[in-house]
Amino acid sequence: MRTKGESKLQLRKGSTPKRTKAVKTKTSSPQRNYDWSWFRLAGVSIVLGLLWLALWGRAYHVQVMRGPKLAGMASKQHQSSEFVNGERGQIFDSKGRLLAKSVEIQSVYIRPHELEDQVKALQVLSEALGSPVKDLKEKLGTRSGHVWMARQIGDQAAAKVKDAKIKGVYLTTEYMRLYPNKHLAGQLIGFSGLDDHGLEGLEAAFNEHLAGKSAQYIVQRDASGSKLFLDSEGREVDVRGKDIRLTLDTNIQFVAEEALSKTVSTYNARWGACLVVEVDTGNILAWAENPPFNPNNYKKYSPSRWRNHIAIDTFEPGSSMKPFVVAAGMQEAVCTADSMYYCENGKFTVAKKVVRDVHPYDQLSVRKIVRYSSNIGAAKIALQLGRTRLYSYLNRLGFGDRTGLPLTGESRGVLRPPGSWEEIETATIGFGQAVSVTVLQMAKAYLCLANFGVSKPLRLVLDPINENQAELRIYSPQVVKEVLTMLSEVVELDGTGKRAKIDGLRVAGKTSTAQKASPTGGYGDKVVASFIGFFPMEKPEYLIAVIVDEPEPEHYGGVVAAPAFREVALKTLSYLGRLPELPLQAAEEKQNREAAAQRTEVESKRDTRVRLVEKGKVPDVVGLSVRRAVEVFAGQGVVPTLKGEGMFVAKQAPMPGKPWAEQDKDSQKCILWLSPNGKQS
Amino acid sequence: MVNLTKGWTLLLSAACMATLLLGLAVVWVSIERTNLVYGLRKMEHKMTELESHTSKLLVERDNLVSPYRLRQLAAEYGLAPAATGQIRRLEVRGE
Repeated sequence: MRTKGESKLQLRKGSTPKRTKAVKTKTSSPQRNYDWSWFRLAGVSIVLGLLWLALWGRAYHVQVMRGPKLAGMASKQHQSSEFVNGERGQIFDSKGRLLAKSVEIQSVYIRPHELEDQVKALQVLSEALGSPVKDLKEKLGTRSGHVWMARQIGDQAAAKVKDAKIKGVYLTTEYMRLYPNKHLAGQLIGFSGLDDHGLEGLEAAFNEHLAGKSAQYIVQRDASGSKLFLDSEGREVDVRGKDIRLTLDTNIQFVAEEALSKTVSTYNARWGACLVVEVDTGNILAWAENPPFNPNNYKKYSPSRWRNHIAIDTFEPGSSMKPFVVAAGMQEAVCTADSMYYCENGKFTVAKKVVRDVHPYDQLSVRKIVRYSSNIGAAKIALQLGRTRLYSYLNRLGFGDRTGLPLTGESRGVLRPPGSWEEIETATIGFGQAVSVTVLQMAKAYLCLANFGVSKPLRLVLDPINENQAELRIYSPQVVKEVLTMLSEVVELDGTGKRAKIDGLRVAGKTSTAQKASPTGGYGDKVVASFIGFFPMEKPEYLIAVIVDEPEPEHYGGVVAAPAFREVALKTLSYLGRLPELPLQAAEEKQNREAAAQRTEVESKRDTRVRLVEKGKVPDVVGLSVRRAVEVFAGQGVVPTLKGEGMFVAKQAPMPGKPWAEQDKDSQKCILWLSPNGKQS
Repeated sequence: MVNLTKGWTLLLSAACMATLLLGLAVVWVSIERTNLVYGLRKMEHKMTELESHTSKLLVERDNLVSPYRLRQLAAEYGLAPAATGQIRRLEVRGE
């Protein structure tokens, strides 16, 4: 029994507690004392344990049960999505020269509710954009939270707006389509609108191919909202649009446009078109139209200006159709090149309708029917051929059907089924009336003749590669050779296409002066003048089609269109370095004629005798320029010695007209004395 | 017994130290990575600006060499396309 002062564990200073046996003593009350420390310990442990469990429970609740939701909320805070729009693809010509490109450009917009000082903002914008404050204020009149102030502004204006750092005024990047060659092939290329969507021409036809794609990237962002691309993940997608490469050659295109512009303005035409095609491949090297259209400023033009006449407009081809009818007649053995036809002295009645010739003819061979472009001769051949066979040839040549070029809105033209033809129609189709064609169809049909009877498709785009149509033989090579000879006679002899003749080269072609249908019925006095030809005749390499609508006062194809053909052909050959070489004598005469015409007043006072080089005799070069004189002597195998100063020959040795002796050909003995004016001082 | 306890104590201390160091390293790498990203972002912006500028210069260059402009300049300097008979071809013979 414990007494007061005694406990089970007695601690003495410096000693370990040792158990002492309880000494039983006699007490007055037998009460028992509990050890509460264990309970206290247990209690604390339990409380701590519970707290620990609670912590774990909370962790479980946060990590496992609410974890995904909280992770999502965290992601929203440090991640952001960004939309990226790809740049629109470019357009190139066959040589890789740029025809169309998109560039980044800034646009300005305002969030009106964020503006602190509207007056100051408008003032700054007015200075930067060059617009009156009043106009800018009107735009703010709307209740919209986003107001465009100016779209597609210059870099300098954008820099001014950016430097001003006005709250509520923002810049955004857009793409602007630029055409560095301005109106070169404007109608063909077309244009795209503000949203970089193709609206006309090839821009519309190839919009899906050219258009950039949109992509959404998930990116991290920092506390200020700036987006951070931590790695390239997610950005492997190429959003840029694809490029296209055309068959056009910019230089030949320019040459064609220049010649066309001259023709259209000289003859006050409504419009004009010129196609240049490479015969072997069918590649279109030039697609020229006039009046021109500049796609950089498309808003300033009316739709008629950007209309693609070559692909869309149809017209009655007139005499240009005759070679195909003649070829079909020869192919079907209905006639030969020398078959004679009576041309009714200019007036032929078919089914009570009268067919006339421009000039009255009596008997003409098929060659001369083509050369002199007799409507009556062609009508008789067509009638002999019959409507079924005639239709078959025209249909296979591509008339009445699209050419297959990747263009929107291309017209089929009109070629009615033969079952609906009356006799007069068979006759008139023979000389190109009662049928409606496009410039493309005519070019494709003449391409068949240029390829010796094989119809090949026209090509406009090199990349992406289009599936080509199959080639089709329509005429035999022998028939076509005969027809080509007839077409060359149109130009080389006394035919209607003399103005297309090129010295040193044989050209084959056909003129046409086709009446246009009148709105009140019948035919009016308006015409479509054209010349379609190719060169060299022996093995054609280039085809050129020139069409001029409503020329005045002249309207014959041979007068209006043939000279344009010649100019385009010469300049194209000059660009390609393939101008025809003339024999020396003929070249000299020609050059002297041209030089004489271009000489200035001062030069014209000089003795301008042009001396032909006679074989075996010393040429007379006195008065000629030193360059010319040296060339003449070099042509004779002699390099003369030059003495004195000046640009013209004043005296020569040996004397002109003297027969060449071998010793005279020594340069020491062959001397030219020069002077500034070609006269002896 | 005492040695064993000492060993475990040392091991525990080393583990704590390593953990601390690794943690610091992770934080440092993360900060460096973020700084790099900021630097990359600046360079990307700069590159985009330069590309945009180059793009505009290319268009300007093509405009300057467009056939219409060259024709105007040629007319100013009295040049014209060669006509028939104006081209002289020279043969280059080997030595």
